[in-house]
Amino acid sequence: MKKILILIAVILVVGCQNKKEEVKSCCSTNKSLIAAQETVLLPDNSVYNLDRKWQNQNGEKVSLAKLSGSPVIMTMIFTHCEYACPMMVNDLKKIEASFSEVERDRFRFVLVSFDDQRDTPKRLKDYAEVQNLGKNWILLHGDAEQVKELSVILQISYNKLEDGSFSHANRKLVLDQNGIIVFGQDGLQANSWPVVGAIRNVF
Amino acid sequence: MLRNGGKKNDDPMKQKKDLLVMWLLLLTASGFSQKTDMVLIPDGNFVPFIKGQTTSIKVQSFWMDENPVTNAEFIAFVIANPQWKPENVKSIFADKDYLSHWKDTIVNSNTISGEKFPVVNVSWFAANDYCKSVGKRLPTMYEWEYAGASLPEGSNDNKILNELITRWYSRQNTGLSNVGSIYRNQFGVWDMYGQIWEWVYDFNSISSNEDSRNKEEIPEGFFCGSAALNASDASDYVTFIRYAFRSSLKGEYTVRKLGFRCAKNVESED
Amino acid sequence: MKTKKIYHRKAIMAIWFIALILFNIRCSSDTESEIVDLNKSVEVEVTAVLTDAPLVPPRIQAKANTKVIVHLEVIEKTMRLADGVDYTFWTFGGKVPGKFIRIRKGDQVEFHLHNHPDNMLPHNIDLHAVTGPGGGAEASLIAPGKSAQFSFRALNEGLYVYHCATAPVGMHIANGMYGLILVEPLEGYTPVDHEFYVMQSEFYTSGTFGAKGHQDFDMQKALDEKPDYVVMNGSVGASAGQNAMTVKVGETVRLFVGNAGPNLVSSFHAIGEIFDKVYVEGGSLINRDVQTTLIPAGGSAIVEFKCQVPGTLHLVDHSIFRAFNKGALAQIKVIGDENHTVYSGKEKEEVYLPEGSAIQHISSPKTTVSQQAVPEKTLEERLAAGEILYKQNCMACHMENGNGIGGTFPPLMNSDFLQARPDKGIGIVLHGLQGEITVNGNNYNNIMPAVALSDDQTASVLTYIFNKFNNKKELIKGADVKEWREKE
Repeated sequence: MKKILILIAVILVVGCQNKKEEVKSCCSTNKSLIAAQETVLLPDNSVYNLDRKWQNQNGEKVSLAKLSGSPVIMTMIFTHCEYACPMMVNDLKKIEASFSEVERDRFRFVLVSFDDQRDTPKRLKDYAEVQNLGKNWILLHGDAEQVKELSVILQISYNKLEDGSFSHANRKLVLDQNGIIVFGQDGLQANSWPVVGAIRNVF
Repeated sequence: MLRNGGKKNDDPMKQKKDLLVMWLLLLTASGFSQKTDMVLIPDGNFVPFIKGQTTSIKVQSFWMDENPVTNAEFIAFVIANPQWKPENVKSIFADKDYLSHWKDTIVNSNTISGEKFPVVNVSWFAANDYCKSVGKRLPTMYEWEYAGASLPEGSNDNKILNELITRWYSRQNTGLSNVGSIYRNQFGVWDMYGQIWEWVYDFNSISSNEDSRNKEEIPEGFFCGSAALNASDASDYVTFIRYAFRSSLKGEYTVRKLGFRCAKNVESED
Repeated sequence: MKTKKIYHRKAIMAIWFIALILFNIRCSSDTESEIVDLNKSVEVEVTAVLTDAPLVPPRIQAKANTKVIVHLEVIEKTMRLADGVDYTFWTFGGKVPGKFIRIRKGDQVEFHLHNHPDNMLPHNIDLHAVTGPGGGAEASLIAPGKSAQFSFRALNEGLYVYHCATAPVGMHIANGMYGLILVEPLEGYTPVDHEFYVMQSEFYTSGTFGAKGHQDFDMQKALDEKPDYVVMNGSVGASAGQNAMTVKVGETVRLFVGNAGPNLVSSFHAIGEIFDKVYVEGGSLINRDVQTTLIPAGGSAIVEFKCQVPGTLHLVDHSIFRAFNKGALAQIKVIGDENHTVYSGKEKEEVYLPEGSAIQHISSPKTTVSQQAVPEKTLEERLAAGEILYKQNCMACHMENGNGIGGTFPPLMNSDFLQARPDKGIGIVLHGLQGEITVNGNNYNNIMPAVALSDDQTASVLTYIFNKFNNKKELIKGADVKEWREKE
């Protein structure tokens, strides 16, 4: 336990020292991510085998396979959600805060919306701004069918209610560079260190 | 559509698989995969099992397959969609037991027993894709439960259906038989109970409940100790079993007694 | 040695204290009992030996910190519930009750639950020995053909029930999904000559007790808490008669007793024995000199006693109709020499039955009934008289339908034993019967006293028995009885 604390402390210090380089390293990493090849050969158990086009908060069409190349923390939310989803986003921010600026550019947060009707790319972009989500956060919009497929793979139960909102499980997953689920955590306000550890394991 | 595997055909099992393909072609040629009849389920009210929705909800009219999808029908699908051949399917879409019963009943014998048995050992992804391939979809859980609640033809006593289900649950697992051989309900749908479990489109919606979006975490123990707190009728044990079964599933799972049938919206009928 | 141990304890306490601060643990164990050191790493790995009732696995001997691997398979299976009665049980390991699991306090357990692919239903396991959500239930819900794995640390010692906790929980338990897991103190229990596993449970069947054929689960009876069967070790006679546990005179016995319910509380009692020691509710509190110990549903008890005299001990739920009418009876046969300083054995005694029945004598060679002339009667007359005599003298044990009581009182119905006797049972009525006999394939070891009936009455009651209970149709004459009586 002590060792872990020391490790975290060291990382924080190292992180501060590297602050100056942040912009540079962030952009170069981004570039390589975007350049990820379409024809990447995915392992059989990769989530990214779901071969559908999504729309990100910038309205660009993307496939999940484009996420390959760096680890991902993935969860599902909807922006009209008043309680659970803001808390989930808050949990993710806490996880983000456990990493140095440099490290933050080495993985992504992916929020997939349950709400195929109301969560348009524009709405997702506004949400990202209001929530002050950084560049390494990707918000995805898809149709009801692809949302259902992904939820089945991620084992995130949900149910659309009559008022258009969703009851849903609060589950976040860590995916490695190939889109293989390496860790899942249920619940809100859970300890962030297992997730941080899982990400570090697949860096 | 799901990403096609596109694997090379150089594995040692190839010969066996060629044999399978031959059989499959023969089957389609001989017209085993006849058109499946659908039944129009009239709209109606239905009280879901989960608490928080204790008032009845309305189920819109929809079409439902008269019978579960059979081996013969699924064989035709696999031929047309080679990514769903057992040797091509990706592990994230179906586990290793996917269609494992075909090896014994179809490939290794010269007689094709079971072509009219309901297909089992299929994953949710496979079932979902099958239905799409024939212009249909999987029924929703509410649709399935609503259609399944219809009593057997000629009976007007709820007890008869309950006894039929109980008898099925409480006897040791027996082999399968042709679809359309157990009972037909008053909607005209065959064998909702008595042979196999069936996939529904939103099987993974059941551990949700109303409270989860407000304050509490979703109780993982919905089907454990806290179950009785959340069900609308704690003594409706036959329904409990069905919901518990669904909650034990994952999308890639295949199970020896789990098959499916398809449904269709009324407006999409031309 | 002593100082070393104290030092060791201090070290453990120190580590525990640090752990408390670091992990901010809110629910701690009690401080009196020795605390499991969670920070010690596993040094030895063993695969648990599992046993079916009434056997108990051997104690794990490893000295170092041990990881115990448990593999348990769920199997849905049709088996015997009673003679001629089948039931589709849901089992942990193929039998009811489920496999006995034996670990030690502090052991790290890696638990694998397998759901057989041929099963119809999802299952899971809640082990009362687990500290954690659902006792493992949440981590182990699995569809047919799947396996689940989870790990736990055995923090508290004692005898614990495990059971399936998949909805509907009551039905999964009622169908046989339970067993016992023993978390032994590190130093072990005091050595005994025999350890046995006994578990009581109820079954709620579509037919009544003894109704033949396959029986289905009856939800209404379960809701009403009115079981048809209350059994020890999963079926009527599972551990009685030929299947009884056997020990020798002078040996010590420890019983690990569980009560699965699902509804009833057991008043556990051994007819003919006093429990020297009872680990109350399977925990660490020891009571001594106990006649009957209460075992809650989903609870247990550990009882110990020494077998001083030969004979058969009947382990029963002393809510006694369950024992004699629903099957809640197991037996331990104690073999060896009599010890008359403890128990004298049989002495002549008379049983007084005030409701018009005859005086019964235990094993009297010569009866004192008057030897008047015996009138001969027709079959109808004999049957009419015999029926009344039967109800007065025989029915209490052999039952109105002549089926007797399983394991205790032999049947008269279709009795091969009775039909094979040249005396047509006359000798039994006149002189009584004791010792081991086999009737229709089942062993009985009990005492029937001589029944003080006249020759005429004996003829009537036996004629009734022969004709009423599907034995050979016989008209037994008073003269026959007289003849046999005079042979003595």
